[in-house]
Amino acid sequence: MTRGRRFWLAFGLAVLLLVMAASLAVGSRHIPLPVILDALRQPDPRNDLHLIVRELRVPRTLLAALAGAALGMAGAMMQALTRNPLAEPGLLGINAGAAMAVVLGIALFELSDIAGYVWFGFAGAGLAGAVVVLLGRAHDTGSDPIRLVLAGAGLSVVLGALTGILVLNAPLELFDALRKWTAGSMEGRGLDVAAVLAPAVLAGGLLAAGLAGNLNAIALGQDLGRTLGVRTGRVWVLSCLTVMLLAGAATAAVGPVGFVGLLAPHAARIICGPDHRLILPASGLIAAFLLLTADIMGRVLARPEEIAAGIVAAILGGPFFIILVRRFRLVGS
Amino acid sequence: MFRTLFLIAVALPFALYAQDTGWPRDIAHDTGELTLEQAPQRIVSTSPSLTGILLAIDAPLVATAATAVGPLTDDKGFFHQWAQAADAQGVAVLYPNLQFDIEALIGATPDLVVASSTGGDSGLDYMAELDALGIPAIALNYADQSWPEMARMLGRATGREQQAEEAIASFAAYSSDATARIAVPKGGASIVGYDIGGSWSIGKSDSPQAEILTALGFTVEPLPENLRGAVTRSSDFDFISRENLSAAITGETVFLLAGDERDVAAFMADPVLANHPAVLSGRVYPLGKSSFRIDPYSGRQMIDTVLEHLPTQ
Repeated sequence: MTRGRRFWLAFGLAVLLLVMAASLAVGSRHIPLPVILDALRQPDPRNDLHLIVRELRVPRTLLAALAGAALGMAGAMMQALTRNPLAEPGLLGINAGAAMAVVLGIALFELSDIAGYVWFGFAGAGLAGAVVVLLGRAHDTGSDPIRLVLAGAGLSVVLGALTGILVLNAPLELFDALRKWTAGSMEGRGLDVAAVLAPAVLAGGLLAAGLAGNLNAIALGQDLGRTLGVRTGRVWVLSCLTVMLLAGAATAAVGPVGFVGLLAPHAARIICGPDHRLILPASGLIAAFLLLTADIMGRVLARPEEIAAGIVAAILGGPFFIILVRRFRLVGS
Repeated sequence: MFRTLFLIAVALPFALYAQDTGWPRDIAHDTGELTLEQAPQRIVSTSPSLTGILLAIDAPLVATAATAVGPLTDDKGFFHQWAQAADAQGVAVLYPNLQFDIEALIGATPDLVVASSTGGDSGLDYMAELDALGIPAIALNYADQSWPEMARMLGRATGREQQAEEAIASFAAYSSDATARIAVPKGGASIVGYDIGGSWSIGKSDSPQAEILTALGFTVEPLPENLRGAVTRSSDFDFISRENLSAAITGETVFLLAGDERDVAAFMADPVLANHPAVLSGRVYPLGKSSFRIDPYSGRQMIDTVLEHLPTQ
């Protein structure tokens, strides 16, 4: 790792910590900075403001950072694996699969606890990912992004429609819970949710780190990867499991959030170059920053109302996505 | 004082309204004015929120729209609080899941359609369609009027003024009887919509739920003025964020709108509310699931729920 790139990673981490601090400071109730610091250093359980910081803002901040990191790493892995600049969990149906499975868990099994429905998120993400890979024949046409994107888009539409049917026919109180979950909001989710997400992100991150070198080889193409001695089949399976773990956990925890997993790897490549040992952590950092920023903006823009982070992320990501598609068309023509 | 005012209000003679001794009569409503030649004999309600009031005044209701089947309803989608009365009267399901069905409505051959002009069961979208088909219809707003006011309006529209007054007086007597038995704790009371679909809200002093609690002897505390700027939307309840909830609940007793024992347990276990006086003293009570919309039936259930949970004298 060059000194310049090390600097950028350290700089990214510092910026993320700053944004996390801002996330603790911003909210619908005014809490002076010294009180926030006291709440973190010497929490007083009899102080309501301390409780708000520790019970609402800290979990929310951790959740946004963890879910963002998970989606960023998942997106980077998918783009490397499929050699497709448009690949991301949202676009390739993985978010839709996780969302559908979580909605099934909430609506049919009345699961209200993330520890219960996170497994549905994993399973849904995995199944949807597998179906898209098979339909898009990504394992042998990794250089053809169109087929994969079409398969993902098609599956997303189908799963989205089925999810809609389930949500609309759910009892009223479940419908409200599902509506909130579907928006991709960080509000009202406690440390218990972060506690489920954190190990999944840690495990996914470690797996991703272990696969990074192989991804560098696979990103050159299946044949070249094999020539370089990479067991492409095994890398594919492990990478898919990692993406399923990361995207499934993030989606189950905060709802379906799009664009973050698409934007972050591109920004990471611009900063770090083509080495996935750098792209993966940088992508995680950038996505965490993006989702956290989206959450803070959602709290500030429509005060005293709040806009869900998932919606803000989509609004921010939309223009970037259009630019990317236009650029991609130019490259492809 | 409040109790006296409430009793005076519900006992107000019908002289406040135009004395209609006969027909035809003009009924002013939210989308215009309807002239009824005679007292309706086949009424359909497209608003489950108004059905309870129609049943309470013995209106000739033949069918009502049903809402989605759930914990608040029977298996037909009739709200529990008035389902029994509707069944006893032979009221049919006009259409299920609040999915407006013009053919079902025409098939019921109503001589009056009672619709809502607000809420999830609003009929504003199809009032013009009914007018074009020549089906007499009135649209009423239950969000900014108490059920006794609604009962009087519907009483006039259906020629059942006397039954409306009887229903109001009967409810007032029921409330008075409960008031005599209940031991009201010291301090004010807050009505809280706690995590209803991820929302948090504080009941206003003039909300239908507050009016009943006031009649029972409670002093209902609204949202404090210094939080007025934090209100995200306002109806009978002021909606605020969860961060502002502990500051917004100023009553020493808390009543949970549409709440049951599980909601009370969730409120008591909420770490952000751990220091609230109501939590510390265990004075958090449910108002019952049907308290979400107050009509003569759910109002009685709300009074029963309060009586069940608070000490009596």
